[in-house]
Amino acid sequence: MRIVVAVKQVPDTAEVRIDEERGTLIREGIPSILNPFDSYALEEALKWRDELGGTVIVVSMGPPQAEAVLREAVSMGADEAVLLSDRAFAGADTWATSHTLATAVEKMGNIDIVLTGKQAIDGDTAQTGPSIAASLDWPQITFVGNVRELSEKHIIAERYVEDGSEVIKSSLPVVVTILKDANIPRLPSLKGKMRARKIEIPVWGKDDLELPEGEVGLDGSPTRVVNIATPEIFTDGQIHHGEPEELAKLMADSLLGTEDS
Amino acid sequence: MASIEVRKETCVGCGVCVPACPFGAISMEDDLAVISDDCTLCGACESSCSFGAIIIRTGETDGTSISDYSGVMVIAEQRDGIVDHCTLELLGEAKRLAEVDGSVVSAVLLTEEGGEWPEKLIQYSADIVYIAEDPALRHFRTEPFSRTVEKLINKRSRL
Ligand SMILES: Cc1cc2nc3c(=O)[nH]c(=O)nc-3n(C[C@H](O)[C@H](O)[C@H](O)COP(=O)(O)OP(=O)(O)OC[C@H]3O[C@@H](n4cnc5c(N)ncnc54)[C@H](O)[C@@H]3O)c2cc1C
Ligand code: SF4
Ligand code: SF4
Repeated sequence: MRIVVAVKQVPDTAEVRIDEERGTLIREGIPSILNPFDSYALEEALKWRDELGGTVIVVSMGPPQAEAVLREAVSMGADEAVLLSDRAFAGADTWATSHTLATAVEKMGNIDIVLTGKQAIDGDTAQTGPSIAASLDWPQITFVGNVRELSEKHIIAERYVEDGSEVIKSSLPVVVTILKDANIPRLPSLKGKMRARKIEIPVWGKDDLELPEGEVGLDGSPTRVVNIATPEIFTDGQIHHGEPEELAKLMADSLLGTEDS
Repeated sequence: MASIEVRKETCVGCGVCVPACPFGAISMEDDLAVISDDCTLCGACESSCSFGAIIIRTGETDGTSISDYSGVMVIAEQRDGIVDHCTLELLGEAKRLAEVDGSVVSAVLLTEEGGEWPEKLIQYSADIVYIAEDPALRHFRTEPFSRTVEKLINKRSRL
């Protein structure tokens, strides 16, 4: 079994602080982490590899620093890692990102499954997994909370949807996006950490992937972010404590503007 | 290849673009905005500069033009043959979008049996309703649904 896990490096939103004066988010010095959802995708891959044998390859597209999340994945037990990095990839939207990732999967060869997280905590589109499937022309199972069965021939997985779950069977190769309900990610092992420090991570650019300029980065992106806004921060809210009756009166007064009567 | 540039003669060194960059890629050096390799070409700074000093250039694209397509299409979401309320809301939004260039609002209903729903969709302001009826479309599955809609879009854009 050859399993690919796509992982993304994201800013640790738990560490984002607010510039009270300007009312904006302070982004400088925010540590980068492995997208939390991707650790569940990785754990799922490691779990099945441990059971069936095979190889887990982690891949990330991003700037050279994104290598850090690949090393983290190796410390958890991934066998191989590939970084997709090239100035020409900058400005990629979900279409270009998925197309680049899918081309890398093709280059790796003989892949049975591609796993992704449900979504990235910064981009938040949840489009990359489905779009990789479209680019490869493979079937896909999204929002998987439980992989019931996996063999060389097929996969049976539960999709968690609004009103329950759907059990889907699919042939391989397949793209699966994983929810955090699927498992509890393992911690890095000491041996894993040592491997992670030493492992050589190849860097593939657009020429390695034989992709034309019009299919990568900003030039290959049909969509464009035209504005990014930070939510305005209000600090003049009030908190009241007291008995329900008292609070109800306060609320009614403030809504009706009858505070002083 | 796409690139970003600060026009030296236009930049007044006001520094407004620095906090506008979500990736911390802009710094001020000698009253000039300088963009580092952390830039992802996201474009946020371009609109923040009131002097038009930041320019993002795109290179060649693959030639597909968005102007070959027109209209707004709403994919009706159905569960057990009943069209979801959000679809009706979407039709209202589609109408608003279509009014901008006077284009057509269509709804696509993929289901086992359409029943009275096509008429209802028209009542909720769809100009055209496409119906695909097949037992395979009873429950949502990605491949049959997406391939049917893809075929329809490709066929319609060449009309
Ligand atoms: C130089 C460079 C810098 C970039 N910097 C940023 C940035 O700072 N912020 C940003 O949002 N995007 C950046 N991108 C990448 C790209 O814009 C996003 O990855 C893409 O739009 C995915 O959308 P999303 O974040 O909504 O992911 P989703 O679609 O929500 O992610 C779903 C899943 O897809 C996988 N996935 C998503 N993105 C990647 C990736 N890049 N590599 C591997 N797996 C992935 C993960 O498994 C993830 O859980 C950068 C790309 C390059 C080349
Ligand atoms: S906002 Fe424009 S003028 Fe001001 S520093 Fe940035 S590039 Fe220069
Ligand atoms: S394009 Fe985006 S990432 Fe690049 S400098 Fe401007 S705001 Fe920063």
